[in-house]
Amino acid sequence: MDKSKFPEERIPLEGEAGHQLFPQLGDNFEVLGPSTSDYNCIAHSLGKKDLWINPQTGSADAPFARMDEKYRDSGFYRSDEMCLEQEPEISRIVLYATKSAEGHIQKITHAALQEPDGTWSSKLGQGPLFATLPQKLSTALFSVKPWQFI
Amino acid sequence: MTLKDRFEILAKQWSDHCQQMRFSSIMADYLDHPAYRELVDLGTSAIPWIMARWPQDNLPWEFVLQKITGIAMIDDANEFSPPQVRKKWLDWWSEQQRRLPSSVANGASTRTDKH
Repeated sequence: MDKSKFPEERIPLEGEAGHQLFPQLGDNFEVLGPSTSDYNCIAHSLGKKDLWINPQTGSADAPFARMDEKYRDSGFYRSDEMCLEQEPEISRIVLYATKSAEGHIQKITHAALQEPDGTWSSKLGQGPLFATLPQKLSTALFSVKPWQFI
Repeated sequence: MTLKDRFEILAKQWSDHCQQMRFSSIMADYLDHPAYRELVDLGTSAIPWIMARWPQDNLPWEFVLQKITGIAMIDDANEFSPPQVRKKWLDWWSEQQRRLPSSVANGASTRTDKH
C-alpha cells in the first residue's frame, strides 16, 4: 500500500472530518486518483469514469431492487453470502447502505469494487478514488454489512 | 447589496455545503441546501456568473442551469455524464453569446427560452 501518492487528497480523510466519517479508516488507504466530479462510486464499480450513477434505494420490502437491476445489466448478481476473498474469474462488488435501529435498510450509499489483484477500490462521491479494505468504510455513513454482487 | 453580491454569497454557501458533502455519491445530498434553491431563484441574471465560475469549481451547476432555463441537458438525473453535460452547457453558452449583444451576455439580465 503506497501512502505517498496524492498527499493533498489524504489530508481530509486523515483529519478529524475523515475520522468522523470513517472511524476505522485511519491511514490505512492508498489514494489511486484525484478528486473529480466526473464519476462516483457506482460508476466506478461498473468501470465507468465519465458517469454519475446515483445509488438508488427501492421500496422497504425490496430495497435492493433497483441496484439489482442496474448491476444485472452488467452481468452482476447479488450473492447470498458475504465473501471478500479473491477468486479467479469472479468480479466482486460490495454495496453499502445505512440501516435503521430496527435493522431495516434505509438508504443505499456506496459501492466498492474488487480489483483483479484482490484489492478493493472505491470512489468517494466527488472525492478521490482510493483503495482500502471494504470493512474500513463501515461507519455511521456506510453502516451495514456490505451486500455483495458477484 | 447588488444581485451579483447576492450570487457570490449564495455560491460560497453552496460551495461550503458541497465541500461537506463531497464524499457522498448521492447527488441529492449536494442539492439539498437553501442556497441551491436561492441560486435557482436568481433566474437568468445568474447565468453569466455561473458560466464564469464553473471552470473553477466542482459544483453541480448543471442542475441550477436546468432549473433556471428549463432546458433539459440531463435526461436522467439518476445516471448522467457530468463531463458531457458540462460541455453541452458550455456549447449552449457559446451559442448564446454569439447571438446576444456582448453587454447582455456578460452579465446584464437575460431572457432564455424555456424548453
